Amino acid sequence: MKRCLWMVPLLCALTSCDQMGPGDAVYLFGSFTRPDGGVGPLEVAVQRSSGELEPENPRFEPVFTLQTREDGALAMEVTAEEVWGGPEIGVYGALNRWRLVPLGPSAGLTVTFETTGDAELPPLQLGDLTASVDPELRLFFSLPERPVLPLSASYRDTAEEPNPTALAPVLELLSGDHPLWLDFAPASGMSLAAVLEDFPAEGRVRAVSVGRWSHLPLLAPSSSFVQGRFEWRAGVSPAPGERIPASRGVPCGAAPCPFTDGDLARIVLAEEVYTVELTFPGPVRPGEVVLRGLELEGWGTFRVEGRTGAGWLPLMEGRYGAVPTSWAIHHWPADSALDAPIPFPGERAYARARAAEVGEVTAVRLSAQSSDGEPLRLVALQELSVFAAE
Amino acid sequence: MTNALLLALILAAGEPVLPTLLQPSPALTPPGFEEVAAEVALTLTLSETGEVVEVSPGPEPGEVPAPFVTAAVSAARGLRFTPAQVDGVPTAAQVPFLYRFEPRAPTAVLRGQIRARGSRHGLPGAALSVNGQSYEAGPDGSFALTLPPGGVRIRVSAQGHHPAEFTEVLEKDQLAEVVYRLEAFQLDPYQTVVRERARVEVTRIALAEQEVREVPGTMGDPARVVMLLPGVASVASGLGFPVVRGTQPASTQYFIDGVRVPTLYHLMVGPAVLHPAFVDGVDFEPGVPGAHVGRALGGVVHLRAGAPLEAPVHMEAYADLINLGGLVQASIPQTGTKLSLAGRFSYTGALAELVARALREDGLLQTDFSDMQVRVDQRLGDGQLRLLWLASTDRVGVDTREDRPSNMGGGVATGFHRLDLRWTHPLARGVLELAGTWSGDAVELYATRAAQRIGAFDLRSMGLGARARYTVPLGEQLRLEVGAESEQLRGGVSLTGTARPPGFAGDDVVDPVRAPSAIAVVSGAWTSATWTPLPSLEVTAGVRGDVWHLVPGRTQAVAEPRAAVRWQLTDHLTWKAGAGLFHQAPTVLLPLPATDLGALRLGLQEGAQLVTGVEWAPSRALQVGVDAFYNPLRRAIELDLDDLIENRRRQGLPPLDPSTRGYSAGAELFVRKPIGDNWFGWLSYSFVRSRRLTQIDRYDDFDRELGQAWAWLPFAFEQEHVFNGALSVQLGPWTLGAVAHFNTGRPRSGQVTSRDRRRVTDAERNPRWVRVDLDRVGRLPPFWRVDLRAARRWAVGDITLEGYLDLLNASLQQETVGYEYGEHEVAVRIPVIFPTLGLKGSW
Repeated sequence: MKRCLWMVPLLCALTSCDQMGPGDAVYLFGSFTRPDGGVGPLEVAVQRSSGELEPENPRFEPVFTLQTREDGALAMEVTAEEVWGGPEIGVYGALNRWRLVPLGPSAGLTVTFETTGDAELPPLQLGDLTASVDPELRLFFSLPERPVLPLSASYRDTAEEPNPTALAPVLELLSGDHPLWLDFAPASGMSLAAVLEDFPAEGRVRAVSVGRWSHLPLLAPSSSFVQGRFEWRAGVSPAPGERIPASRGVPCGAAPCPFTDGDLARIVLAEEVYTVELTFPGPVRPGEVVLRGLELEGWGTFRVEGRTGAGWLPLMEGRYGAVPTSWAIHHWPADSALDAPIPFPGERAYARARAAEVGEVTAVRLSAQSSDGEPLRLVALQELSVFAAE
Repeated sequence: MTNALLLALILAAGEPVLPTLLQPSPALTPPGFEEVAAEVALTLTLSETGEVVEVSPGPEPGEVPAPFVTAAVSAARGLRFTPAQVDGVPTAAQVPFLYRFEPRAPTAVLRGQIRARGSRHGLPGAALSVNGQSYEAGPDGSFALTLPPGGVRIRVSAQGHHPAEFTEVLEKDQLAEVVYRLEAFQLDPYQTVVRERARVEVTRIALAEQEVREVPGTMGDPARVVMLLPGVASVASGLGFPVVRGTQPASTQYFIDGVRVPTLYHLMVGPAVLHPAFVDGVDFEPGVPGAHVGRALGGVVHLRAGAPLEAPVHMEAYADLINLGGLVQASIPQTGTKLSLAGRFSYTGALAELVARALREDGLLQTDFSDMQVRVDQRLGDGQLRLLWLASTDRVGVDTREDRPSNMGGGVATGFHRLDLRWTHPLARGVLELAGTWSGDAVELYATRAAQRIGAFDLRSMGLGARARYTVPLGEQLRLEVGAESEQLRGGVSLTGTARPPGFAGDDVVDPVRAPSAIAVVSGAWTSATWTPLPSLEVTAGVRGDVWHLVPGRTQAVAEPRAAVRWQLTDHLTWKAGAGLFHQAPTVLLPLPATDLGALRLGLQEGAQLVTGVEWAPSRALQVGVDAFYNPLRRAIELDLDDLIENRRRQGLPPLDPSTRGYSAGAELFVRKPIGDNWFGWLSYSFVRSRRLTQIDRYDDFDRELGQAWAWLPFAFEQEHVFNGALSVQLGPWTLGAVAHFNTGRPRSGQVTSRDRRRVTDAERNPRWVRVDLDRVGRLPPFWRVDLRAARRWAVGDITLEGYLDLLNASLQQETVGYEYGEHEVAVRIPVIFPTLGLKGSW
């Protein structure tokens, strides 16, 4: 029996104030709008996490497929035990996770959520994210509107911390089985030429928003707490790049150098490696530097420098492990066994920058240091590419 | 005024016959000489016919002021005599005549009224005794006595009152106005009005004013007495909604002077929604009401609102710990108008704030209520027009001030109003009654944060209705009544802010008038005939038809036959029986606006009522009634708030079908000592079995459903045994009373209480509470309480004062309303202890 206000006990006496049991009904609601803004019946596959939720390898199993109403509204009745993941209510992480996959062309939306009871998801629009790469290898995309919590949700939304979070676009490019590029702040119109080098690539743009809210309706048998993630995806298939970096095939103390060989495999560095240095056969004037799959032993800054007559001069710098606040909750492990979770920005660095004008260099080196100036060990790296200035 | 005196007659000669006075002519005392004695001697010369032809002073006028002489001479000219005769022949004559002016005795007038102390009404038949002479006052206690100046002792007496002596010192020629007040043997501020009314129901318990205002635990409110009558149980002790014969509280109808109202009590546990002085009696019909009552499966509580007294002005006021109120009644005989105005409001909110400030608590208890009543009776020819306006508002909740997300408050605000205009007029040999009512009801559940409203669940309805009734006797043995009524109801349900459940897709605000969420027109017609073939036998048969039309397009029509018979077997013993068919819209625990309209989509409830019993009255001081009843419910749709919430939660999903069938059966005993010999009281005992056929779930040790089954379950409001005893004794100016109450517990079914649970141990040896199957749940423990009331009356001039202390649950018992399940099962007990200390005055 829930605690009642002592001052109005008789009001409480009029309702059962009874605890929810595992077999009691829980109602889940949502609504979908078509890509053109219209509404209509839509088939939605409902999946539920199966067994204990493994963060990086969740298992989802189909529960049922249902059809939304004419107005696009979705309502389903499940049991509390299905929601809780057991006979008793749990906490985030122990709850079953639900996944809604709208079926049909240009759906492009995946919704996952956890709840302790009745829940309503924000109204969502299908296929709103479009992405394309033009022949000049420029990437264009448009993002849907940020989801807005339903009127029934109780939450605190401020300008500093919108809830759900603002849509964060992510560009993922793969080349074969290897990550080619990961960009947590892609801009529409950006050039992919340097990023692609001469690798064949396929990829997608993902836009993600996450939110946490609660439902505390008057006289409800219990409050419910919900967290959900809304992700739109659009595939891109750029033509293979044609740019070959000046660093391709240059040595780095080992022969052949695994960071310049055009192979995107993740190379784990030996213990106590703090620097990777590439030696050019002749002077090169760096124009652009691309770094793929850098992993450090701690958070700090990495730096690529060029050796000139005046010594080592910086060509590019970047922060490792510095992530926007909202990404802390965007990181939603185990959201899908079918689609890899979005890596946490602090786990692996992909960086691209126009090289600082230092003139010709004969070698470049990669190093990192912590915020207090201590050198950071390099853990792993895929490729380090230096393009000559045009 | 002087008296004439004939002294002598002088005749000329012969055998005389003296003239005698035929016509006196009094002389007026000259102004300014009223208190002077004087004698004026005159000599009158009479003609042969006896007329006065000459008047002259003398022969010895003496020292007399001239005005006396003038007055005597002037008056003497009007004297007439028989002619003087000599030898049988009329002749002229001279006679002496004396006018004597006597001084007038001084007087004073004592005028006044004899009243009972504490009242402005005269005592009829009062007597006065002055100087050994008795006088009787008029019917209104008024008198006027002419008495000599000076001190005088007046003894005043009247039946039922202590005699008293009063001393007055009267001035000469004084008109003294006085009011003599006698102290009654016992002060009785109530004037019981007994109205003989036609009886068409089987069982009606009619309580007079004193019986409903002197009962402990009721705060002096007539409406609350119903909770102590046979056939009535309660949801929780002190809660004002009666559970009549095992039905849902919403199945019982409340009327105030023929006007249906949604509730009778403020804050569900507080005083009634109208000033106590507005009520002069309560009728309670637990079952089989006449055909004029429809659209309900349960009982009927009718508060009789008395017309104002004939006094020009009557006022009452009271104040107690939680509220104050007043009543003003005025009567204008010239226009045939009577006006009553009453109202009250509570100051519990202000008191609670003071307490909260003193305790430095953030939560502020908000409990405010107020009500207002206006009644105007206007004579219109042979007919009568009656306007009744009732309004009531309530709010109870908790507000918080500090703005923290977890700092939530909330409460319930309710209100209703009724404006009813009724015209009654003789028609043919009967009486026609036409009436129209405008009604509005509202219930709002709201949530707050930092005293700001963040969500509300708002239910509103508005109705316009009309009704007609015609009662006519058809001969000595038959009386016929016909009637019709129709009402359009508009309901609106608004959910704003946090009141919206997940999936809510409705409009933000629904106006019941402009954009109602439901419209229904409910109409009915009825007729009833009462046949008295023998003085000892009365048979009433009637039928009513009702139509519920839910806009658009859903119409449900029903016919309901009713019958009742009363047969006086002996002088003291009467057998009675009745039966009827009844329908009602689906009900939601308590009468809630708009919800019954929307629930019409589920169809109607249908039930029958069968009752029989005897009434035994061996003397005027003892009445005994025994009733037995069986009420089958062919279709019951009795939603509780959980059902309402559940359907709210099912936004867009098919609604649940809560219809079922059931019955209630039982017996009642009522032993009553009516008012008389300074005391009244009653004992009531009720036994009821109220069952519903219910589909239940079976649960395993993990609280998981194993399967389903059908079972006959005790209804959520079933209290099998209820006992009440009420006693009120008047001892001089004191009235002392006590009420004893006992009831067995309701089932722990999770409806209006917690669900019974059992303790199991899981594999890790952790305790777990799982639900008990509904056909195996226990009951809440029995509950008893004792209420006390003490009142003392004083008469101060025309004002009667009454101080009273009323203690609901003076026994300090805590009622168990549910259980919490943690490490152990812990009972949730509510100590509903309600002391009322107040002072009331009437003038």
